[in-house]
Amino acid sequence: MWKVRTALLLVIAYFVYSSFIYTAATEVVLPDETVVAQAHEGKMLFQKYNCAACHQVYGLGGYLGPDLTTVAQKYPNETYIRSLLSTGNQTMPAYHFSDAEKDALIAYFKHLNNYAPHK
Amino acid sequence: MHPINKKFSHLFFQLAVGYLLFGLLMGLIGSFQYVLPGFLKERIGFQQTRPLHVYLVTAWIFSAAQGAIYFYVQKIKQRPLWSEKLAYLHWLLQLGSSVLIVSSFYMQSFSGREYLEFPVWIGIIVLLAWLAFGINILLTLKPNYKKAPVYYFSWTAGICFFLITFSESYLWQFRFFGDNPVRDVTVQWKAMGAMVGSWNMLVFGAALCSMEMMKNDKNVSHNNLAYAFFFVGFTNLLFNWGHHTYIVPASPWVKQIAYIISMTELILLANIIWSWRKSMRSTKSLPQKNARRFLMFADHWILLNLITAIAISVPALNDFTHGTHITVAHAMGATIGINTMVLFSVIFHIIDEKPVAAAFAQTTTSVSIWVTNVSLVVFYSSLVAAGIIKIWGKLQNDHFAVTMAKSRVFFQLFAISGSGIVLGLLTTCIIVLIKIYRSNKAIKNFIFYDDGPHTVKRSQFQNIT
Repeated sequence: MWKVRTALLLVIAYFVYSSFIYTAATEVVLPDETVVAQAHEGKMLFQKYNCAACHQVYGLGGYLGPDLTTVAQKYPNETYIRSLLSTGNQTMPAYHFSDAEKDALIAYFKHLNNYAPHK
Repeated sequence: MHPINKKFSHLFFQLAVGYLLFGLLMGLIGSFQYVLPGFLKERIGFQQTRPLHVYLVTAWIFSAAQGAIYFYVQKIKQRPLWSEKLAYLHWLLQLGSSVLIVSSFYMQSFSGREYLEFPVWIGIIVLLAWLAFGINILLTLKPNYKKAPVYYFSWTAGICFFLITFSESYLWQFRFFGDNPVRDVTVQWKAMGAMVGSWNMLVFGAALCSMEMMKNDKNVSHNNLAYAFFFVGFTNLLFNWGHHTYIVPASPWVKQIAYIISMTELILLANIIWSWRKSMRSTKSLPQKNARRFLMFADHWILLNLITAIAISVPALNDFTHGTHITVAHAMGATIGINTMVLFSVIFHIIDEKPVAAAFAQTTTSVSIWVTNVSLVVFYSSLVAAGIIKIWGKLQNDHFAVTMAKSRVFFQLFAISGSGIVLGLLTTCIIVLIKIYRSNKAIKNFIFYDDGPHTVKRSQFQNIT
């Protein structure tokens, strides 16, 4: 009987803990709706081209390219990022993003950087 | 004695071996793309080879475990599966979802979520496949948990928590989760960390069941210590994912809980070290040579990986190791060294039940196990070395390209030793496929009973009945 009780107790603890993770534990102050919308667009592009195959964001992703969690802080004038997004390099494919797409991706990188702990 | 239908185990083993072979090929191409950046870049880029490799090798793990469970539940309960049609449906859904996933990756159609990069709608087919599997297994077992062996708990936890965590991994579709990077990443790590634990539950449940049958000792899965270790493992499945999120700026107590839970693994480590010699001696006495050899290697990898896992769960060390190839080394040690070795042990236990192995196959299997494991040691070490260089680079504020250039020799070693792993596992896979082919041929002529060597010709069986 103790086995069933222990299992049930752990499962209940898991669901209670999950509800905290979904709410209080991960609560942050988001910027205004326009910024969030543009960052969302950038995130969708990041996912569409499977950038996570090579780049990490908060530890999620591959190791072939640099971590992008704080890339907006490392290259604040954006020129380097914009040129890479256009032409790629020896390893990275040339995606030929439009200006609007580049804006969205940079907005996403800035949005990520806003919450990064290692500044 | 009830005759056991091995058809579904064989179907899933064949599918699993197919996944493994194709996954290894993608891993090999991916590893060479590290060393030669332009390698096949236009035909199949790294953004395709990596998700293909990751999906296929994880599909190998859960499909092989599912195949084993289809066999064991019939043997334990001495009755056929609750529904053979549902098992067929499961197989078809699994195969269908794989074809769609591989095609979508090849055509560069991604959802782009780490580990589940395939388009969102294919996830529904994956979920249905697991539902079919879960319903069939639980209704065949009809478990009474008060008296159940520990592997009933493992399998139930594995099935239920795959369904829960797989659904959870799609919460990002809601803007409440997706727009908040901290919540988005934390929930994704939470779902993926526990999901890995869920199929590990299937693997280790199958391993325990196989050990119980090989030793012919029910105590293996009924003693209180076995349950206690199950609960340590289950607690880690539910809460240990947090050590992946030390770098995510969620509430500090998420990290503190994760750290405390991670350290419960010390109990497992202490037990392994305490009973090491006894475990080695008891494994050596197991009757099935091939199954035994794989288990012995898995024992070593469990020890090494547990030490690594505990080390990288310490926040002060994790601060350096996260985002480096040390994490990859840990993942490879776990998936190849532990899961793959355990699964091949279980597969050989099932397909060798009616031994059709010639001395040649025994020797070849033995050589392939050694080639795989020696290559894996080099592979593991080269990844750890590349990780150390990355840590050093971070401390020196080196540019990413400089660190990559310094790691080049270890990436070359990683690609070469990866080829060794492919060679070893390819040989093992061929032996498994030959054995399944011969066994399927034999099944056409004989009815197999679960007590081993007594077989009756199908024609005689029909006359008797």
